[in-house]
Amino acid sequence: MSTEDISTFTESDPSSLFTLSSSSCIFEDLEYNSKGYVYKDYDAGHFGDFEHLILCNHVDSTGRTDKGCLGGVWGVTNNPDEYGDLTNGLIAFLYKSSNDGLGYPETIYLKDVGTPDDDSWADASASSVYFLTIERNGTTGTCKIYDDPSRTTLKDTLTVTCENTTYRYLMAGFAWGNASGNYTHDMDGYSGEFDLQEPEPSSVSYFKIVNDDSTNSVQFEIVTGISQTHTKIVNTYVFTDDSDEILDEGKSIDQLIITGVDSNNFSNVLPVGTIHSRANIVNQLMDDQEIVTIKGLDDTYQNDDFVIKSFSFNQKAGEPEVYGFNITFERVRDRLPYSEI
Amino acid sequence: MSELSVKYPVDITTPEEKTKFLYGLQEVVRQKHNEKGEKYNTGFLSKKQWYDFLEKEFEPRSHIISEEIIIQRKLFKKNIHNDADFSNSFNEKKKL
Repeated sequence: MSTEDISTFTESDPSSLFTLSSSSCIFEDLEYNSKGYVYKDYDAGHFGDFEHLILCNHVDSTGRTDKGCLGGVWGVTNNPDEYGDLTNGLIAFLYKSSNDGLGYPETIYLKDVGTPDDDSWADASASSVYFLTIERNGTTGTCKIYDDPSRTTLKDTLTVTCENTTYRYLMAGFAWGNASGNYTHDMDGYSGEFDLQEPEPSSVSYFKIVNDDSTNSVQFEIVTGISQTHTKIVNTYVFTDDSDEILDEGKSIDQLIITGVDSNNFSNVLPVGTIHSRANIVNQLMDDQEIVTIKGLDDTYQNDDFVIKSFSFNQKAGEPEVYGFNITFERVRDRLPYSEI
Repeated sequence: MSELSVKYPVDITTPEEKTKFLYGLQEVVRQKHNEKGEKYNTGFLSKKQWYDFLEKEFEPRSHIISEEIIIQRKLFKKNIHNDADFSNSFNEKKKL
């Protein structure tokens, strides 16, 4: 599972209410008029239909209770801002009610700002960690609330009508941000483990294969066309345990395993030969319905759930290197049975 | 390939009744989900069976219920016209 590095998000946080780590966005003392929000730019039109997994926790709230308090834990929008100033987007937030005779319910909200429409679950418990699956499908937005990380215990499903548009920014936290009033009923909590479940990358092109006789292996080296995120694939070694083109017993697909750099674990490498012949073997393995599993693209960027959908290459005449590798792969959702991989 | 849809009892006809019915149905589906989840957690259900259940039973039903809730709730809200006397609908305690 690959989650977003929240420490790379941008903070608008004049009162230092938010603290970011790689896996979480922690907020403290969010009051009625607190200002601040945390967001990341994913480029225009990035978020259309999606399914995002996050966790959130309302740790504590203190102070006066004649007004509610609010802590934003997730959102997609085209204008990141505090809750009170948002003009569009689909958001999720924690809300602790005021003293309204209902027993201060702990509430999780899903709201579409533009329509506007919202739904809520008011049986949450303070200090419990909730695992949200937030899905947008056309004009329908849902938020499934679980209280276990494996998402086997569903507490409620929230449903809202969404604006049929795309969004650019992802928010990991936001304050209420009302212009006036100071009611000192504040909320502590956090959001985290943002898994956007996006193909990563959706398409990768232009690798070249580089011979490495010293390790009796083949390296992928990126030539062009790779986004910054994926340059870590450089010098990934290629192994295979199935170069004989005979299906493993009990398997309906060939598998070419691409593992991370590990000089102590070179086994079952491609047979020694020219690069061309090696590339041919790779290509033959990838014919038709065959699928490749990539494990651990490198030591610091461990991705263990990708499948390659297509694989092809070209070789320029008289040159030993093979160019124009076109690899299209998708990240496998954790929910898919591994028997389908 | 079959297309899933909600089948309402014949005596449930208005958006209000349908909305109530849908939330009840959503609760039934939630409980079924959690029963299966418990079986999976305790080893009575394999990983494949659990994911098959999610993919083939739970998710399609959950999805269609959400879609229907959107529709019926919208109709329900539209039908709430000013057909009641709202002129005295709030209690206000005056502080001394």
